[in-house]
Amino acid sequence: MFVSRAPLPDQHGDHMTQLVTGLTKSATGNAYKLYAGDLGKTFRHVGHGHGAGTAATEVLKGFNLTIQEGEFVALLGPSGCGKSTFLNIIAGLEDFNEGRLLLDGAAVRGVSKTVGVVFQSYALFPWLSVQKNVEAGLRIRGVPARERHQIASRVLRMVGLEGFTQHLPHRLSGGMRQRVAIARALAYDPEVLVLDEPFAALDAQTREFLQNELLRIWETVGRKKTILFVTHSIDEAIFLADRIAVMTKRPGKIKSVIDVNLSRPRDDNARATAEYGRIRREVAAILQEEVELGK
Amino acid sequence: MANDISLQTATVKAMLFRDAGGKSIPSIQSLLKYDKYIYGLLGLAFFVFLWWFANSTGVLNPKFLSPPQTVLMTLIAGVLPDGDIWPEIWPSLGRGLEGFAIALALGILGGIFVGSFTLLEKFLAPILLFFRNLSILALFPVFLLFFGIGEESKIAIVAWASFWPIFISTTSAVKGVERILINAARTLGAERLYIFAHVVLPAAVPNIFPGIRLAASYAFTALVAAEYLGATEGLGIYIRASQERFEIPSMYAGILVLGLIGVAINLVLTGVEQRVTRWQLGITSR
Repeated sequence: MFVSRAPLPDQHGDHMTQLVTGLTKSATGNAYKLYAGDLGKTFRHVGHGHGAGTAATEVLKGFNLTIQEGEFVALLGPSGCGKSTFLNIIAGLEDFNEGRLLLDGAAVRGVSKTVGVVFQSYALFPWLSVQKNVEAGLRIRGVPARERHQIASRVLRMVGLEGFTQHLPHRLSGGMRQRVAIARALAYDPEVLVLDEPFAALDAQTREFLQNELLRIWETVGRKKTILFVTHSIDEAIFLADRIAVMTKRPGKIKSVIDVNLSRPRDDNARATAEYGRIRREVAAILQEEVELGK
Repeated sequence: MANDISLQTATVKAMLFRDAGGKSIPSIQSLLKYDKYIYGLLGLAFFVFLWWFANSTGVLNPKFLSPPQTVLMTLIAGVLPDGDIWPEIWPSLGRGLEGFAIALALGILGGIFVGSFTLLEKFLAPILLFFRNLSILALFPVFLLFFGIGEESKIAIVAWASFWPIFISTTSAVKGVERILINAARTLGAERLYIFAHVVLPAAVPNIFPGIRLAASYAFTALVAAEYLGATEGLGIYIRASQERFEIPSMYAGILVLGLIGVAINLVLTGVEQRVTRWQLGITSR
């Protein structure tokens, strides 16, 4: 029922840690919030039926990505390229075989309490009210009832659901459920927020509305969260992100990183600018190349 | 054609309802809400009538089948505080509930544990398959050996019989819990014990309950069998002793009490089930 949670032990000791700390500084001297160096992940599965022994699928290979504090990075790639696997590794839900993954300079081992995760399928607890769902992370952290009630109420107000606190999740629309899921991840104030194609299952109008909402929420919280947003939509990536990391097909690694120099706060007008169109063509060309390679 | 008729019926009904001026018709409508109970009562009345009819016409031997009114009077006299059934109820109920409670605790804990670890389940599969299909009657001598002829062996028999349906339904319910919910709890920082208690258990409860209700009926079946084997007090021994003394109305009264206990426990469990699975309304077809 549970996959093993602890990633590979850190065998390299202090010497390596120092070396890596050196690597985790950006040019401006700021520490990277998240550092993935030469990350590799292989699934081994026991062969059933045809073929003997064990088969292995390389999902990630030589995956390098650095994200700075307060940065909004979109991870874009063809389906099955391993972008969700990378997100699960950051979330601590899966381990990896090669390379290093550092969060605030420390190796990620299992689930980090400073990472908040939003899943595409919402993953709300259907037996808990909206309020109780949002309180879940605080309850796990032992926050007293009164305090967690206040925090959850505040976060629910922020995502515009103050009128639905006592509803059960399945009484809400998909877009509202996803706002509950975002509120749940924000409630315990994580440093890093990772979102796995959170709006992919929503209709186009709701999706654009929630993209605006996400930016608004991100920009209103006191200190900007570091966000990794996994998506397969080019438009979503451009509209939301500071940088877009485009992945190769499997085994996935980062093919190129594109800066999005659109001013913030962004609104729907941003989608009509020349810069937007230029980035869109650039990203589309890179993705096209990957799809062609795949044939 | 058929459509026309139903349409006409609907129209006529609508006219009737309107013409009644909203006085008498609403009472019929409110009665319609209780149709389940009304039909149930009618069915019950029909059954009692058949019983009475079979007895009074001699279709079934009146020596072996007492008339319902006699059984009812015996029952009422028996369950009065100074009646002869009253002192038999509590020993049986106590044993039954005690064994059932043990089965509930062990079945749910064991089921969560075995259902959570695939390897453990594979390891235990043959042993579990053997025991769950083994007749409880075959194990009576074993229980008597280990627990003696006192209370313990009866409680153990009840616990054993009601353990299996709870355990089996819990195991499969736990395996059916959506992985994404467990992952969500893990990303929120939950440890294993918290996930068991606050995610796996509530998510599994709707699928555990059918097993619990089945277990309750198994519990009293096994209890009566255990009491037949030897007990100084209890409804099982009361029923058997009444038959041996040829006090047939008392025998039926005892059976009736057992049946009513079963119905009462089922009602309680259904009520609890509805409470704890209320969140499912609208998700499933409940």
